[in-house]
Amino acid sequence: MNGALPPRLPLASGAARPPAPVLTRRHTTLPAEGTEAIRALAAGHGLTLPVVYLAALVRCLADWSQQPSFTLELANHGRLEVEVAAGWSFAGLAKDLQARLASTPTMPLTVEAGELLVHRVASPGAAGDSQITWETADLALATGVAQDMADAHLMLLHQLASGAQVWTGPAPSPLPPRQALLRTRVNATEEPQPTVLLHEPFWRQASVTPDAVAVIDGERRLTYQQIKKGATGLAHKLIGHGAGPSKLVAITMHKGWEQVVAALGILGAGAAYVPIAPDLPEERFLHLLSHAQATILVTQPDLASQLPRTPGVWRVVVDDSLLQTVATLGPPWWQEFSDLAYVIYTSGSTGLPKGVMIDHRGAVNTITDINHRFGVGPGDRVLALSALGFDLSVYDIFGLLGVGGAIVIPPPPAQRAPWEWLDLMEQHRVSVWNTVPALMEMLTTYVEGRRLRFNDSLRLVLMSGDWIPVTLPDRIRTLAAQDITLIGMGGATEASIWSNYYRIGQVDPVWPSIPYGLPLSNQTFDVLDADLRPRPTWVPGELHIGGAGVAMGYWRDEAKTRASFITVDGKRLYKTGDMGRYLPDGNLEFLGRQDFQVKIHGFRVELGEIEAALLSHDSVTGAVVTAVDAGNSSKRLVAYVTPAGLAESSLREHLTAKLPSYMVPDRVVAMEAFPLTPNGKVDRTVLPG
Amino acid sequence: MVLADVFASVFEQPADSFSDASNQDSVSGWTSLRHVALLVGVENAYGIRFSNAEMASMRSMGDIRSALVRKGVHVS
Repeated sequence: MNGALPPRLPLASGAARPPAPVLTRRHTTLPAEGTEAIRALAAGHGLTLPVVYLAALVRCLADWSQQPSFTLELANHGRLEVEVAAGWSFAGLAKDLQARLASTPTMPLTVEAGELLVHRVASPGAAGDSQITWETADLALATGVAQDMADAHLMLLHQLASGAQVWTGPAPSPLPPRQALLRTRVNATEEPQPTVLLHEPFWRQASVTPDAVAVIDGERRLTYQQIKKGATGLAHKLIGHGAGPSKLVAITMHKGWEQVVAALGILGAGAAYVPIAPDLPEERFLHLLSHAQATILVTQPDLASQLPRTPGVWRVVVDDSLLQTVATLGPPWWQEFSDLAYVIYTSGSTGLPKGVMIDHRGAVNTITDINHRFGVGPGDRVLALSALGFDLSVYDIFGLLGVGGAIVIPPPPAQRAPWEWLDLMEQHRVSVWNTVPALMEMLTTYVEGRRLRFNDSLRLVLMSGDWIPVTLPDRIRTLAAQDITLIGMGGATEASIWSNYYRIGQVDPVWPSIPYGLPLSNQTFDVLDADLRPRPTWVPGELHIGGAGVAMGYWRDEAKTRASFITVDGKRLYKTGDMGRYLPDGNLEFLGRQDFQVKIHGFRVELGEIEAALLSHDSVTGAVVTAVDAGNSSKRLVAYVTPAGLAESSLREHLTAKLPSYMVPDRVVAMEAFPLTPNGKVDRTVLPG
Repeated sequence: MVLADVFASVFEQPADSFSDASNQDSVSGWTSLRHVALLVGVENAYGIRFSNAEMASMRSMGDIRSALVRKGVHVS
């Protein structure tokens, strides 16, 4: 319990706090009939009127406080420590307060919350009503907070006066009407949803512009017609081996045109694809293949002989011969709009990855929105830097090929080399950039250092998947040949690539981050507390994504699906585990994780998954993994294990055999024992750096 | 121009903490981003340009020194 501190109310950002806060006074009144109704209902619960007013204030402060536990000063009673537990009814809260008080408070009630707020209630007043006075340090509080709290408090009193249900049922929404209206408006994102399958726009495009370039891979240029023939040939082979709706076909390939043919061919066969990277440790590779229940694996000629043995899995190779296919394929197609399109495995906190299931509807909804919103069309080309197992690749492939654009695939040596990217972008007139911010920052650093400029065709930069350094947008603009559009996006693999966007204009250097922005079409964002009630403007809560993009669940994992995909007021929501808040203009602000998930090179990493892998080593008795700041807004992993004396090389070897390389910590430190906090948890803040 | 000074300014560590053996594994904070900053920093410090193939092959301070020497640069 964090009882020593007053409520953590949202503060004005950057403003110099006056040494002695100037308090602004506000009055609200609950009329006599409301006051009488509350008194009568309170008596039924064995509560006095002052305690009920105290509870209404505590409920209101808890709704605006970052922490549900805090300390108040109660005139004539001294300090009162409160904790508003999740799930409490109003009557439950009031009874808890009554029990905490040594004696019954009397009217008038005067409560102080730190130096920011004094609250007084006189009831009954001369007219039998309740006179409420708020004195608040408005300049120190975030804009509008003081007025909103006063409004919400009075709203709660009216609700309490209106009936017994409010006393014993779940606490009502704390949003004052203005905020509720804004929230509704921001989330009124309904647009007609295209009822096409994820691969359908490509097929249509291939009929319209068969000879247009679809994929550039090194020296090769493949047309829409060639890619379609390849996908058609593959699809027929897959159908012959039992592929179909709701079945997964694995793609194990290095980057290359063959991935595009594979993804389109698998969907063309009615099945769904699951990327399983060829460079994974054998144990993880085999685990994913078996967990996915994939009985077919699509690969490349040079890889087929290098992969681990996979008995019972039929391997099919995508090579040039498929590009000669004469057979035809669909429409009609085998699957429905609501069928599975792909599964992408992401890091799981309990030791094994989880497979996010995305249907055609979700992926098409996001892609169509982005293409419309930013005018992506036949003239556009993207440099496809993201791995197939990272869902930005879904947009690269289906977004660009659905509108007649082209994908430029960097050859393997170019995949981490910005000097190669710039050459490719110039040579192939790339116009769309779509990566995690770290790769854009690498390119920008290179272009700046070489005193070059971006290729003049670059017009749209999409950055997502991690924090965007606040100085990066201006650096990009300085190097751009034209007035390029910079977009920050966010969301989760579990909600179909992206769910929000922010058009980045001038960035004030004092901003703590680039705003997360607004929901995309047919998608919604709720910022909720532990009781799944909306958090007011400025107040941090957990981001929940709703709408068309929400995943079907986790492949073959009912328990994790139930835990992360919930229904609130009839809406299916994905609990992101990310913290965020709404700003007064309706934009969202992203505030990071509330757990132990970090981003390493843009990949989601659950520290618990690495800890589980360390604990599977015979000699390891304890494991803690942290992500430390490596400068330039990037992070690196450091692992700590017990007992002392374990060889780092053996531990690293053990991890390398189990985890993808980006999850293997840079350092593994063996120690006698972990430093502990007073309450016995590992104190991550004092682990040796 | 002392090569270690370029390293010191990119990695924000004392110049004498670097040697030809310093590489991506031994220097803390040698991220992909800093690697790019280092290579272009070396180019600008010595007034030369590396080819893409040279850029791709440099992994340590020793590699960078050798590449500079091959370009006829006097490196201390």
